[in-house]
Amino acid sequence: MFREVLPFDILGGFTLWLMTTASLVGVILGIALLVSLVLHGGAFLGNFSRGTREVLVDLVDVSPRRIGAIMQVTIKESVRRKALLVFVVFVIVFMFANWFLGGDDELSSAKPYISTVLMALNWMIIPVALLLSCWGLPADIKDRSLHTVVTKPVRRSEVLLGRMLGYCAVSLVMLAAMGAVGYVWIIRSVPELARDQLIGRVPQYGTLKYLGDDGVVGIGKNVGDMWEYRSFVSGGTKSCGVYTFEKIDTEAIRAAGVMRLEYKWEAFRTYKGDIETPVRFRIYLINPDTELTVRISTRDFEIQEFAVGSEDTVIDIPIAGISPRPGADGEFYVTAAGADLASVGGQFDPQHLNLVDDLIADGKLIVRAYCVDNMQHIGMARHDLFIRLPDRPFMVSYAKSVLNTALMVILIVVLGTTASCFLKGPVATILTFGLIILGQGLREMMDDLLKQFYDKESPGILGGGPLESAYRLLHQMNQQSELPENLGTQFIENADQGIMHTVGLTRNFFPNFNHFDTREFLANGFDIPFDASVLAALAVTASFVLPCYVIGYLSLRFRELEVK
Amino acid sequence: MSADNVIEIRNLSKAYRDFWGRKKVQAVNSLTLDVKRGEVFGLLGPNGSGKTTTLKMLLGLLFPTAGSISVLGRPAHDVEKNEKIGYLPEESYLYRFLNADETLDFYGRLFNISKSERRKRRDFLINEVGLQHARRRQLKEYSKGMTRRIGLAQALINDPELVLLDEPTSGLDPIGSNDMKVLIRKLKSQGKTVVMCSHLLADVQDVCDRIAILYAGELKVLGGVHELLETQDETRILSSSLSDAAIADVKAVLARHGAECKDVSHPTATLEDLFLRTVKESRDRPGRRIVTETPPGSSQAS
Amino acid sequence: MNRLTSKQRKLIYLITWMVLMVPIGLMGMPGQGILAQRRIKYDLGEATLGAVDPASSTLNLVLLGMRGIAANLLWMEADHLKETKNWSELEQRVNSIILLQPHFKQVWQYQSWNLAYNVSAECDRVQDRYYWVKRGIKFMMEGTERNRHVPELFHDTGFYLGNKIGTSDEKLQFRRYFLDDPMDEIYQDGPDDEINPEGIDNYLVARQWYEIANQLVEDDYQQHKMAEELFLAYPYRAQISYATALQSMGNPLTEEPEWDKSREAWVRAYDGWTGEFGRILIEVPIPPLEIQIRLEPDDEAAFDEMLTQQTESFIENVPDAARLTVIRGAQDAARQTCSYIYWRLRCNTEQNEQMAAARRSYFEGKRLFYEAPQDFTAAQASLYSSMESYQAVVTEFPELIEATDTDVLEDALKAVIVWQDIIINKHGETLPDDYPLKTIWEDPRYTYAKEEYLSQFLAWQGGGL
Repeated sequence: MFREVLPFDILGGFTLWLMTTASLVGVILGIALLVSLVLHGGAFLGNFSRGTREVLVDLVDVSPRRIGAIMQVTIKESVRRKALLVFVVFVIVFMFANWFLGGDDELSSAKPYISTVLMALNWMIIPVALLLSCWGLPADIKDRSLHTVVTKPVRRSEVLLGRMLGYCAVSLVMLAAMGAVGYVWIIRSVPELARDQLIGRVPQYGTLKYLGDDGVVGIGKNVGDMWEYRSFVSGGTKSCGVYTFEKIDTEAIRAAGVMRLEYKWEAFRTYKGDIETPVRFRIYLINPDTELTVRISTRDFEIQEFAVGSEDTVIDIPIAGISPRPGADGEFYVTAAGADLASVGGQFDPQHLNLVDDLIADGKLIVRAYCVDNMQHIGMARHDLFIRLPDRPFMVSYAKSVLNTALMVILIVVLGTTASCFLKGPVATILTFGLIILGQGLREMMDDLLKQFYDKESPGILGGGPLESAYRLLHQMNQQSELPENLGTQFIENADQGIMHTVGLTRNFFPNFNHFDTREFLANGFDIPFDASVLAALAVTASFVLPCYVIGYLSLRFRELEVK
Repeated sequence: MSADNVIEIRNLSKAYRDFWGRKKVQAVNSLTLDVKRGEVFGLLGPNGSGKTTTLKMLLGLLFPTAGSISVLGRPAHDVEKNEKIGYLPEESYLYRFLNADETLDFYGRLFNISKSERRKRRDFLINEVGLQHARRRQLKEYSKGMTRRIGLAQALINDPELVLLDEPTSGLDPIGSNDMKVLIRKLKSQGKTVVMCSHLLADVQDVCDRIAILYAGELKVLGGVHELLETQDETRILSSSLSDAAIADVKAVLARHGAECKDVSHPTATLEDLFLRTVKESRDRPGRRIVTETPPGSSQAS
Repeated sequence: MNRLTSKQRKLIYLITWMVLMVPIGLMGMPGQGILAQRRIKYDLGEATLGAVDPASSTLNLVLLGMRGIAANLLWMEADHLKETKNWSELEQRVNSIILLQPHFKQVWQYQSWNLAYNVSAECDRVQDRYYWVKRGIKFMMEGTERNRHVPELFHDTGFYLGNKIGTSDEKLQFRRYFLDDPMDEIYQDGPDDEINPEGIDNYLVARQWYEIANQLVEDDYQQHKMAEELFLAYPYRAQISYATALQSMGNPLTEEPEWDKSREAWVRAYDGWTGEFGRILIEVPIPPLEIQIRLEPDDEAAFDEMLTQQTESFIENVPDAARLTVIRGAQDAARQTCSYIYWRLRCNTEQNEQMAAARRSYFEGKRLFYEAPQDFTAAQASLYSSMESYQAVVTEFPELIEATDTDVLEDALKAVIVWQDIIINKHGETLPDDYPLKTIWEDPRYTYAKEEYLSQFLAWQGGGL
């Protein structure tokens, strides 16, 4: 997992949503008040409050029967206009996907297969949702078939809801069918060697800090990688990675009789050494309260960099059977350095040490990992060591992934339909697609730029904002060199400030599509965590549904459907 | 609002504006008129005179620039009034991928009509408009006349109190057009109010109780069809056929009373005359109005 | 026109269409069609470039003119994946780029190098490294299939097979894996038959690939990698490397030296170098001229013969004597570029009994010295005998150690270093006043080399000299 896996902050998100939505509502009400004032002069307050009441009634007092009728017509329309053909295309793609991936016995990774399916699923369902939702209403208005509908006792909010639900239903049914085909394809195509990678590992991550060569807390070493995901600890020194796990479910471990630790570290050699022996490491378990320290196994472990999801990188630690002395014949659990056994004596029976009772304190456990070989290094990241909870079936994980995609589809439909309430089909499509691209690819860049911009210690973006960057590009200047001092550059800098502030203020209006992306989890054989992924996706979609509904309704409501 | 006024239009104006908010066309200008319960009201005028715009403002499809509209006692943008309105658009704007049954069922579901009632009305209306043979065909395969019929059927699906018909007979053959007139009379006999726009003056003359003629967005003529077509400074005497001697006698009597006999002929349809005259006069002398009844309200500019 | 019904009009369109299609179809007909003939004549068909991948062609058709942009995006993604050490996805991305740009030589070269060298070096386990070297080689081989007329790609494939496997830090393991692939679940105890179908030494496979590259150059497909005489030398150099490897590393599977086999290899190397490579007509640019020469032989008759091979412009208006001087100069320059004389001498001497004896006793002495159970006395004797043999060879062919290739010098000096170490450190004795190779040992020209081997010996970590 190369992405920070953090539980989604539902309360924080909700607060942010409330604030954003409130400001949006404020702006809308302000505009309405102003319009009312211009139109009605003195009677503006009465008109305004009556209008607001009518809008609220329209929004809330909707009839499921009418929504259902519109939804049904929407579905019929999509089906009769052959939208389902996309599914056929999808199936055809997978009939030929083996041209690209198959026939290579040596490929022992399931990753490409899973990525391919998820990618195809995404990029085939996005256009479907996009085109359906963006072109439906404008066509309805253009053909004036909507006139006939709205001269019936139908609220415009009902038209909007019916359309949204109809498109969702069509897209989701299609997604479900595609998902099923994709699943069957994965199961059948993944090579024999990689079948065991089709699992849903459930990791419990801890926090990580590094001890330097002198054993003092510091930051790990950088061995020259551009990628700062892992930091390295040096072999033969006091340098190590300290993982702290909390809220360990001791009862589950007791029931299983074993705790499973899985690692995926990276080796870095400063000299060639014995090339046939991998770089080795050693692991200690430490009780955070008593500081009782236990070394796992008398043997050193060897780095396994390419054993993705296999059992080779799992260390099973049985709860009982800790030997009190180093060198004793217990394969696992030889006590070693750290706290002297005698110093913590009395609290336990040294002859019957137990993982759960003697090492885990209030669900908390510290794991230290050292590199054994002198001057060699081991790179560690927070997600490189975890307690592996019982696996979930791949199917469950896959289903969750499809669920996330479904949430994305719903969001796209909602955005597209809303856009189509006030824009023509092509423009609405471009707008919605732009939001998807912005929310998917550019979101990270935008967040990164804003982080630099609002950084407390050294505010400002390396190379400047958009205008300054453009200036530098044109003048072929690098990012560090000073801009010439003149009126023009001053203007550029001020304008950039303005632009970045605007971006900072408005970024919450753009959905973060990255929350829907489950590829890294699934392709790496991890279960998709509910709190870090599904919940986040759910929150993103949910937060856009209501505002979009209101905006779409208002645009339809105050739009003359007939313009000559 | 008077209890027997189904529609009350007061000082209604509509200006179409371009993108920059500049006025492009004044489609309707200070229109004031009422439609009474149970009458068949005809809205006439040349192309671009504002008939359809007025109709669409009645339905809430367009928003007035100024003035007010009350339909069945409610403002035009209130969708609940639509429960009792049936509307037949100029061309039937329906979903072409649905068949006749599905179309009627769909529009039926938009009203508060139970399923069994819906089915009953659907079958009844399909019979009524004569589409039994084509009820399972998608509308895109329909001819113009068939589309009109299904359009009419959907307008009546809710058994409306007020029926708005935009060019009801356009695209219909003489038989269809006659059927339509029969139907309009039948609606009237059921106590429903009908408002129609039409170019086909003969049709209007046949079925309408009252008419309004619009020209360039302004009301030019308003009144009962009979009153309007009565010419006050001429008298037409209708009798069974007279002999030449009898005619000479009559002429002599007229001469004695100081009147000259201009013409002796058989009566003809004259709404066309009125219409053409109104249009011509409006072009020559803007602002002139012919109104045979006291207009509702009194503050309108003329 | 109004008199025609729609059906009639459609019929007319159809007939017109068919009439137009006939000449196009005839012209494009494979075999006799003029378009097809032109395509073959000017090598314009994609199939003439190499195997056509239907997926690739379809993709390019679908993307219309956008493939450059798509390839760029994929390239950026590939870079990102490499940076984040996502190797399997990197390879997948690279394969996608190749679908878009199957005939872009540099893509194959850059990305195969990436896999075989950069990715491979990132791994810690030797098996993993070998896996990525293999992926790089296979990728390059695919490139040769799609581009059958690009000599560089064949040459590079040979280079990876020869040099990456034969000279990297992991050469002992790599050469073994080349015969016995570590992925036993697929290849059991044999080689990966995709890169080594015959189960032979890596240098021999490399030679086969170089030979194809040479054939292409002979067939007038340009290579732009290096001077022609260097490029063409590669298959023969691979044979030399094969012979050297047998001497210094022995059989890859057993690590036992195979003296007979290496002698045999040297004989073949000599024949190839002088008999085949030396006889190829090579184009040497001596601006503004292009001179056709052979590296062998260098007698009058040979030069006269070469004179007849020259292009017309060279022959005009210049006296024969001057032209012969130019040809001699060209041959000389070409020989220097590819160290022709040295390698001819080396191949020649390695067949020599004295040289073989020197190699054998050095190998023996080395093993006795560091392999348990160590026998220093026997090692000392063995090394001494090797030094004697080297001295004899060097006396006869002094050019051997004066050349830029240090192979002979290295073994000779290392023999002295270990021998001296045994006498001084293991036995606590003093060096005799005179010993074989003493003049070389004390020759100031070799001080730098001597000190480097000495420091290697001192820093020796158990990996062998």
